[in-house]
Amino acid sequence: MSANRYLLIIDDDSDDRALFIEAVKEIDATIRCVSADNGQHALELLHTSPDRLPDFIVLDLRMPRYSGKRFLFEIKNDQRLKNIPVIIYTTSKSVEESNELARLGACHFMTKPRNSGEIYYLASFILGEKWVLPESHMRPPDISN
Amino acid sequence: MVCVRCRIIVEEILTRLNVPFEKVELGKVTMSSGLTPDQRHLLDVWLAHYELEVMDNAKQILVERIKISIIEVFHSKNDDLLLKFSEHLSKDLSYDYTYLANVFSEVEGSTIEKFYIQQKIQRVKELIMYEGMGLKEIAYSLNYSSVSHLCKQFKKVTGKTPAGFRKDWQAPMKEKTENEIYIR
Repeated sequence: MSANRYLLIIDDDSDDRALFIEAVKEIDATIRCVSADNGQHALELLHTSPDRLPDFIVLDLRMPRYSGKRFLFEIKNDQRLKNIPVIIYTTSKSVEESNELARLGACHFMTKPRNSGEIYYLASFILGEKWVLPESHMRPPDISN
Repeated sequence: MVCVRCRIIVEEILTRLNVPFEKVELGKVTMSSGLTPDQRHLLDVWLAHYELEVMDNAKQILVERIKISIIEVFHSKNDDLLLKFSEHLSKDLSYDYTYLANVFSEVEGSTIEKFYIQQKIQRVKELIMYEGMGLKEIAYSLNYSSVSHLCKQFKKVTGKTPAGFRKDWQAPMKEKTENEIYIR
């Protein structure tokens, strides 16, 4: 089953992308990792790949032009994309922001660690869990406020 | 104090010092009355002997509660494991998950996810050693996405494969004589 898994990482920092993918490959070399450097690029990738959707999306928040939050809102309002588990991977430690992203449908919120040795465990955590979206997140989120 | 052995040690120390207590749980003692300065001093000395300590810092106490909550979820027989890890912690400790993760990192200098994985592997070891369970069964009971993922995670954390660990654990048992007992 794991041989076919596909992960999309969206982060404008190329070092962070490379370190995360390195950790993922250490866990399972067969996982297909695709990266995008902002939300718009990621949406284009998802819309132009009809064959297969990612099993997880790892999403940074602070990105130029098209933020992670905007990307999350877009895919949770897209019937085809809304059930892909999205894990936030950010420098933010804001409780308010994490709550808001959970309401928008993010599965998990992780702060990027200072020590790069910890990235393995974050990646292993993501790949090891069975991400089931809560019922409330199967519907398009309400962002009227 | 995040294991059963620590709880037993604390019970013995309190009894030895004639300190009345109502109950000793993982990470928490409910006293019958307050400690005198002398009792507190002796308690600190005895706990230090076993590399334990009384925690007075609120954040340290919260981190201890996080650790206990994570350990307990792996020993529970209910559906806690089916609940998302972050939701379980928030529900159990009545704090937002991100707040808990921030406090944990600040106090421990390491992520909550790493501790979660280390404890999960500890539970895998226990299920191999004491329950004799197979890897498929363990992966299912601990909600792993696959047996392969369990094996890779096990190797990273312990330096051994689950099969190697099982073999090392069983080897002394096969060679032991009637007069020997083994304690781990």
